[in-house]
Amino acid sequence: MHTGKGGNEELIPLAYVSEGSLVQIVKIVGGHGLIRRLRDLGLYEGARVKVIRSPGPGPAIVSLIDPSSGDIGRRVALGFGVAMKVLVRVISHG
Amino acid sequence: MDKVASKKHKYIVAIVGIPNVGKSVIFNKLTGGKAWVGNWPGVTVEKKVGRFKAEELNAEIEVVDLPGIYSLTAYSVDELIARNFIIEEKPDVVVVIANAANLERSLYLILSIMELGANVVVALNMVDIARSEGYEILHDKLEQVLGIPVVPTIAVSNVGIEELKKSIINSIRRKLSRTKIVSYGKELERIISRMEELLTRSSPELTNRYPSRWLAIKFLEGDEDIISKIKRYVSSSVLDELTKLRHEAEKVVGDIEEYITEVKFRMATEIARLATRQISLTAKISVTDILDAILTHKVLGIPLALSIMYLLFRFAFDLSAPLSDGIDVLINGILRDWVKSLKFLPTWLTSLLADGVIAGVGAVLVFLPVIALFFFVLSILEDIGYLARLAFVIDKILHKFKLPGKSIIPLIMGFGCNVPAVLATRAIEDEKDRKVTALIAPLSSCSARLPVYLTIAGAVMGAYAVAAVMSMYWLSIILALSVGLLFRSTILRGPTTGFIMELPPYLAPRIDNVLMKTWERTKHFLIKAGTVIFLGVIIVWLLSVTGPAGYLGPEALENPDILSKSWIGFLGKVFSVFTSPMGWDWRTTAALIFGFIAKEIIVGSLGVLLGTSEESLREVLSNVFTPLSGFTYMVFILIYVPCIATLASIRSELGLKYAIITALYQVILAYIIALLISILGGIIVG
Repeated sequence: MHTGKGGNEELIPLAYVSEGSLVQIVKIVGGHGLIRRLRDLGLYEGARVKVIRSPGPGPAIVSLIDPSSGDIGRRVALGFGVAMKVLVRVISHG
Repeated sequence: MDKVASKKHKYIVAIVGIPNVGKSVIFNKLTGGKAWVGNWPGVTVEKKVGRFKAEELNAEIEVVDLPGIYSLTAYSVDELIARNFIIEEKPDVVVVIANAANLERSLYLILSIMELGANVVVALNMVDIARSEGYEILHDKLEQVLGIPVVPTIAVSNVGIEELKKSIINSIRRKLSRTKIVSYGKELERIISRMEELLTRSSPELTNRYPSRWLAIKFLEGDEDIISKIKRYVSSSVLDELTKLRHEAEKVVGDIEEYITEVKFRMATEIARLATRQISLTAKISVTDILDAILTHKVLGIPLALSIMYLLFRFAFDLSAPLSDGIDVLINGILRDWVKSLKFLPTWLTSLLADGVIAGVGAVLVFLPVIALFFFVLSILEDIGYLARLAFVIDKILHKFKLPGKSIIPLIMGFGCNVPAVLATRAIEDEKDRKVTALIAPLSSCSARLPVYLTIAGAVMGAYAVAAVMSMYWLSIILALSVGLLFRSTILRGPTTGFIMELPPYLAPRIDNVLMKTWERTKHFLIKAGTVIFLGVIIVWLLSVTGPAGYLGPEALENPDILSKSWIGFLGKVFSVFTSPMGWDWRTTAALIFGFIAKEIIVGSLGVLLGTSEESLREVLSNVFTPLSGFTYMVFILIYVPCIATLASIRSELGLKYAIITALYQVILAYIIALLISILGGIIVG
């Protein structure tokens, strides 16, 4: 699994990523419970996801696209609060 | 256990899988759709069991459907049920349904179940969906890495089901258990095997019953359920030694539970990558993408949701009206008259049967069509995947009331019938979110309340009748949200959990699935009519034909003067002390007591109490109520107390305490609001 190339890349909350972007999850800021639930749904540090709908102050839909994760095309909706806790690195802008 | 003896002619196969993998479809295909439903011991989670014949073994194979789960921790009831079944009942084969479009999470579960020592067969389902997304899963590669049979299936179109059956039968013949599928690194492995040795030496009984490696790992993870099991078998000195080993392990890896999850998860990811091959570079633009662009649109999403809900109601109510009339004629007309004409029975018995049981249960059955149709449409919406989107769209609004988006589904069901609404709260993970939803679900104006509104509004509201009935629905929604906020800020205070929900791909509805869900929900309503309401009407009948002075006879139900001397009359008069400010007399107050059994009985009771037939009821009502007191009566009926059946389901889901809270807060709230409307209305009317 490849992580960011350098340490100087900017991490932004998933909630602020524009629609259509491809991102990689770098860090999830939250307790065990949140991390476990997100992982159950295929969102974990290192996973790549595509942002289908970006929230504004509302929920976001992300689609899991990382072939290495085997989670192909599944959609997960995240509330704004949760999307703020998922820090990502943008791979390509939408 | 005597299980061993019965296993000679019957084999048990358990089916398990993460949610949304098509588990119930495979279960139905394997068993031919014939299943009987019970509850798991001690909890109200449904247990489904079916069967198929295995000619090769000359045996019946019993298939048990385990709950949909992600892993086997002790954190959720569903996970505990699944793992207890596997370790205690020791099914001959455990079929894990893996989703080809979602492999890695399924693999995590597969690994966890293999660690339990189960004889596992994997059904790799939805291989078609993975392919349409541009990927192929190499099932032989999976077979090779895991060392267990893997059968590709497309369950909805019957592909691979026969192969799966064959594979199950083969696996029954050769028991296979690979508890050591995941390796946790040299140092931890050394500690695990020392613990295994210790356990085997100090209690062979324990390690014969459960795989020793699994016990050791769960002990290391601090799994309370397993620790208490171990405690029952080993001495405290052995326990001390085990604890010492755990401390040792902690020094090596830190948080053991996290480490173990991490290692297993990494292995699942690794296997998923090995077994996935990309066959096309671009996934097709799916129907799901297009539909989601519209249905979850920021601006259009909410109006669309409201329109869909409106159509749902119109469809259910309009289409069911003639059916309900038919049932009414059949039960309340023909059947009831026939029973009353049976001269050879004593009059008290014909009265009990005709006026009590048939009238009461009949009043409930009249709602069967509307409820069945309502749940039919709702099941279609669920099956195509819209309900998850609805929760998503509505989350923004519900969040302001500290409610989770997911509570919209039980609240909408409540408009059909409150009983399945309370049961539907099970889908909400967070304990407090779930409780608050169950507490406010009875405020959803169920279909049983509608005829009461229609009768009263029709009688006293004149031109405003339709507006008055509509206002009940708005009030119902406003109250549910406000009371939710109130509970969430007081007795159920706590951080609101973020919204996390999987949105399944849109699928064409499968008629067998839809009918099954409709039946499961409608069934609760029928059971209620047959049990709680049946008992309730008998009690009410008894209270009507007897009074403080003794037995009055069935004439009480025909003659309001005699009825006023019954216990019902007595109670009505006592309570009318409280309801007189609203302008209700003892008769209309007494009808509310009947409404506690089921709201739909109120109309019939009003007829009896006011000594009139249903045809002339409206005219009589217009003399008993003013527009204002009639309207407050409707409001009171909306809020005052859920029917017995709803309270019973709250009790079984959340415990007696919450059933009492529900009944109390609703009566108090109903009284306060009815009183307020009376006072304010009185001022305005002058």
